[in-house]
This record gives sequence, structure tokens and C-alpha cells, in this order.
Amino acid sequence: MTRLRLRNQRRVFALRCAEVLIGAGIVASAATGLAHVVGPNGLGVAQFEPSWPFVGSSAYPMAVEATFDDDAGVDVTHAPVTVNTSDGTRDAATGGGGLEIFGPFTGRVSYMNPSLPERWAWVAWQAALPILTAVSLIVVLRLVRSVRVGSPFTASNAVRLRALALLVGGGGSLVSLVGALVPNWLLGTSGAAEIVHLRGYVSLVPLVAGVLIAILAEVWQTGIEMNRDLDGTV
Amino acid sequence: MSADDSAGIRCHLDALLDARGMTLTELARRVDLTLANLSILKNDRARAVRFSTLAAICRELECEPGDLFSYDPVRGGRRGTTR
Repeated sequence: MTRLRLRNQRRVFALRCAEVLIGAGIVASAATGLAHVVGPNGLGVAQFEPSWPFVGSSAYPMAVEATFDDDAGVDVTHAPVTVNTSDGTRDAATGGGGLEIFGPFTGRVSYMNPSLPERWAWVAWQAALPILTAVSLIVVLRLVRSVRVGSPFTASNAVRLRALALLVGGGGSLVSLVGALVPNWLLGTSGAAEIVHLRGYVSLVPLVAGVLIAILAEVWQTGIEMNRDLDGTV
Repeated sequence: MSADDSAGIRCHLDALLDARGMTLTELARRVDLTLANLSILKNDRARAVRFSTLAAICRELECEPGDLFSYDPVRGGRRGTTR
């Protein structure tokens, strides 16, 4: 009996720790998302400098990561110098094997004076994932809390799992789509369009994760029905 | 849980306990069941009984399962009829 109580106390403690971590994740994610919305490129209410973890370095100023084409003329001026010796090509500084540096190079295209649609497209792209994460974590927090209080097999938890499946599968895929389209649109319509490599793909990971959670929700629903069957059994 | 949950099965635990001069609390202790669950059974609010529970009660009250339960077709209604 004592061992059972001890195990239960450990379980409750572990779940409480998980709740604290999830809570911290919610605060950080929501703050990151909101920081983009109210920040210099969004509503412009808060003119703050970047400060990890709430505002990434990309929040101020507006910048898009890009891969430069070979004909962009990106050159590494301080590339290691090689020398030809009787042992072959060696690195001049270390004497080790010779090195050659070539592209494609990645960098950031910064927008000095972005238009309103550019700014909001960028903000939507940057804020979507943290806000979606925050909302999903709120659902997860409620699920974990219900497990701690000892009543996980409830209809409301089945609804929460379905909502989570929709958030991860639907919302995640949408975020992935926005993440593929927005940078391409921003770079493709900019002056750098000719020298950057336009990329972008929609990840299937959120969709697969969403389907898995949806399956879990159905398993949960079966658990609820079985639990209901046991209700009143002595 | 409604009164219909017993599906017309009536439990005679009260009478058996009276006959043996045993309290419900004592039986609960002997069969290792909570008083609340045993009360559910006694008041015809149980929907199902585990064989292990039934065996433990029969062992302690020295009776047969048939002594413990009877079927009331009026209370059972359609739900209680066999197909």
C-alpha cells in the first residue's frame, strides 16, 4: 500500500514538473508570437531590440534567410590560402590538407523599408508557428492536468485530443505552407530575386503527426467507452 | 446511474447479512471491497459483478450465487428479457 502511494506521489510529482515545463513553453511561445505581432514589423507598438528568447534576431529588422545562386558573385575574401608542396596541396596556415571553399552560400536578405503587405506577410510567417505552438501546448497542459487529477478517460479529453490533431495536422500544415510561400514571395518580388535560389517545400510531418494524434483520439474514445462499461461494476 | 442499471436483477445481500448477523462494513473488510461499492451492489445499482467479487461474497456468507440474486421481470422489462 505504501509502495503504491509512493509510486503515485512520484507520478504526481513528475506530472507537475511536466505541467511547469509545458507552462513555460506556453509563455515563451505566446510571447514570441505576440512579440512579432506588436513588434517593429507588425503593429509597431513595441519598438524593442531583439532579446532572446522572446524575439529572435530575425524580428528586427525584417530579414529573410536565402541561399545565393552561384552567379550571385558571393566571394569569401578570407578563404584559407593553399600552397603547392612536394607532398601536394597544403594549407598555408596550418600545413594540413588544402581546403577549397565554394557555394551555395546562405545569408540573410534584410529589408530596409518593407511595404505594408511585405511586413504583414513576414509577421504572419514568423508568428504563426509560435502562436500555434502556444495554443497546442495549452491543450496538452489540460490533458496532462486531467491525468494528474486522475480522470484522463473523459469525453472532454477525447475532444481535446481531436482538437490537438486538428491543430497539429491542419494548423501545422498551414504554417508549413505559409513558410514555403511567404519567403519565396518576399524574395521573388525583391531586387534580390535574380541572385537567390528560390526554394520552399511543404512538410508532411505535421500532417502525419496530426493523423497519429487523431488515431490516438479514437483509441482514447474506445478507452472512455470501456471505462463507462466498467462504471457500476463491483 | 439509474435504477434500471440492475436490469431487473435484485440483490438480497441485506437479508443474507441479517440472517448471519454481519454488517456491511464487516463484509466489505472480509471481501476486500470498498463500502461504497458494496452499497451499490446492495441497493441494486450495480451494472455488473465480477466473478471474483461474487466468489468472495459467497465464501464469506456461505451461500450460492442464486441465494444472492433473483430476477424481477417487472423491473427488468424489455431489457431483462432473454432473446
